[in-house]
Amino acid sequence: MEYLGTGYFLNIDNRVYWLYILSALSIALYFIYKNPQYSYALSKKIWWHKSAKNDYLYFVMISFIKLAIILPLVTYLFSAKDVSLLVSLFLQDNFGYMQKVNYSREFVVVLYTLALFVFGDFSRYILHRLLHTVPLLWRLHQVHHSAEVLNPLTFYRVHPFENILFALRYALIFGLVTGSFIYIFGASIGIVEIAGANVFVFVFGVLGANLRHSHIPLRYGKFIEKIFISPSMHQLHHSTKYTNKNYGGILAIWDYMFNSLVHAKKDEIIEFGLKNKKVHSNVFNMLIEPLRR
Amino acid sequence: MKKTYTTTLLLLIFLGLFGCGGSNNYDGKTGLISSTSNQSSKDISIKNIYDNVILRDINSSYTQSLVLISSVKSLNDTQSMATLETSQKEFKKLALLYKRVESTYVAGRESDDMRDIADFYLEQFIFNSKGDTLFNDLQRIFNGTGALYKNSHKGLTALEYALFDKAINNNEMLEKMNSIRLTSALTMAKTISQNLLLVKDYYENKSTFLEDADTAISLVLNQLVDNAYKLKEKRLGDGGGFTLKYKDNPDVKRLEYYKSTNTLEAIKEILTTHKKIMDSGLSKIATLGNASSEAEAIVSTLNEAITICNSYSGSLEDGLSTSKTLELYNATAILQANYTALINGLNFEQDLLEADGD
Ligand SMILES: [Zn+2]
Ligand SMILES: [Zn+2]
Repeated sequence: MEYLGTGYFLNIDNRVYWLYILSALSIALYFIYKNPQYSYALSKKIWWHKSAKNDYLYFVMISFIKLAIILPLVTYLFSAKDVSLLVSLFLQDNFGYMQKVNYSREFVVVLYTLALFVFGDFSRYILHRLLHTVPLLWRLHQVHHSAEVLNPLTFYRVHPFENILFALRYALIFGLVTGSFIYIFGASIGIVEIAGANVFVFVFGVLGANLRHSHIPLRYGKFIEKIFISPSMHQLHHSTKYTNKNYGGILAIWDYMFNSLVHAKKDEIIEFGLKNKKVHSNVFNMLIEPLRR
Repeated sequence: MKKTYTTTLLLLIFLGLFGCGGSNNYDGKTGLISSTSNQSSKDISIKNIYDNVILRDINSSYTQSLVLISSVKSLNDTQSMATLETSQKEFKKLALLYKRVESTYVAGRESDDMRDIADFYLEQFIFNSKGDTLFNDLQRIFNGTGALYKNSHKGLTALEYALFDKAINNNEMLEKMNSIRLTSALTMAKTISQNLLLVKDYYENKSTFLEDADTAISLVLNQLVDNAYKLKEKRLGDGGGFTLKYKDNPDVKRLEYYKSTNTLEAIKEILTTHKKIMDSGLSKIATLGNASSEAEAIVSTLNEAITICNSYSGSLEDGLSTSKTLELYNATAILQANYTALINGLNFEQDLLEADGD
């Protein structure tokens, strides 16, 4: 049944791991307690909206597609493992062998985890921006943006071709960073983990990553929002008005550097979905529509 | 229609929750840090490597150093051809046993002091023209015209020179064995033995190798890949004229043990030690980390290289310019790349998919 996505809730590396959902819910309840006007965020109108139901069904379907088709395909085409080996052998051939000096393992592990995070987040920013600016890619990415209401599973409302692009991005960046680190540090590399999860995934998850796709406009304050993307900022990205802003994943610095950062104005009412009012009426439509014409 | 939709959805979710086990076949485990179920098998493998290779080899090296001391003592007493030959034979044995220690010398990666002992006092192969300077210095000492430098009488290379000079015949050698040379040889043998004792003591009482399997694995892998590189580049490439520096300019004098014509045996010893590490646990560790094909590639390259070594009819010093040397060099280049592949493979235990946008 893993093929239907249920494993996601039990896998600490996934956005919708039960603990992350639980912490997002707690934060949401506290937020509503402080700002009662947002209690509609928990209403049936949001959670049982046609768009939300599409998300749920789509999640089940896309989980199957990812495991049955995309994972084998991408692994066959272009795995991070292959990229990494090519990179370290390439560096050896061109710049000479580097003897594996005894740096402290802790130092290398921290550095490697940080490098994966920073390069990973930056590459997500670039790909996301391309998805909005290249017309052909925008057709795929509209599947994510046609959601009229947001819930944590909207995160997975992504066209399979976009999934493939993200998977290739992952293989490329993970491979490049890992290959370079193996070239310099050899076998000393590793990832800083909490309870078996990448420390960044864990902290981001516990701090309410799931609220990014929700109707709880949690903000971090103007200063922190120059560094980190708050849930409210990603919600703005889903609005009809600011679709071409806030492309960032975890870090806001890319949006800041490349002039695509926007903060919510006080009490601004935002409408989610596409400016052209396109909706995808059912899950098959979500798969097929971007490919038509 | 609406009802069917809802029912289907609920059914799917129910089935999903009902059917899901605890395991997940693409959870994102990366790095050499891995699940606890494999942890004890890794601990056992690391312990095997430690007991069956590292500890055993330092102990036999140390024991052999004591044998060498007593044979050099006899040489001092009798100065006969027989005692010279025995000393030379025991020296060669020690040099080979020390190659084992050197190949897996994780002590130098755990502690700076231990690294210095190997680099400066036991002398991992003198790679460059430092060798010539050393032999000139030593010759002056033996002639009674030079002062004894602090380090000049400490390593295996120095003792090799004292006992073999520059690969001259033993009649000539016996003539050169004056009293300074004889007492120096004994001092060198004793110093080597003392330093081996320090290494033995370190491994037996101070090493942190068994404390954390993942750290130990990374130390072993880094040591082996570096050692494979040196084997290729320094032990074969520089002598055989395959490196950029000495392109098409082979010279036996650049071989590690050309004075005692022991280089091929030393290379074989290194390769065999690598194989012992694989067999004692590293192959097992690779299998646990989903990198068994990478480990198999290493073992088969090691076998191939050992076969090439065995195919020499005489010494490497004699057969340096045959095509076998290039074959052996190429095999060690592949070996080094295979270790890089194993390090890489262990870092990607599972194929995982990170395919979601935002
Ligand atoms: Zn977008
Ligand atoms: Zn989104």
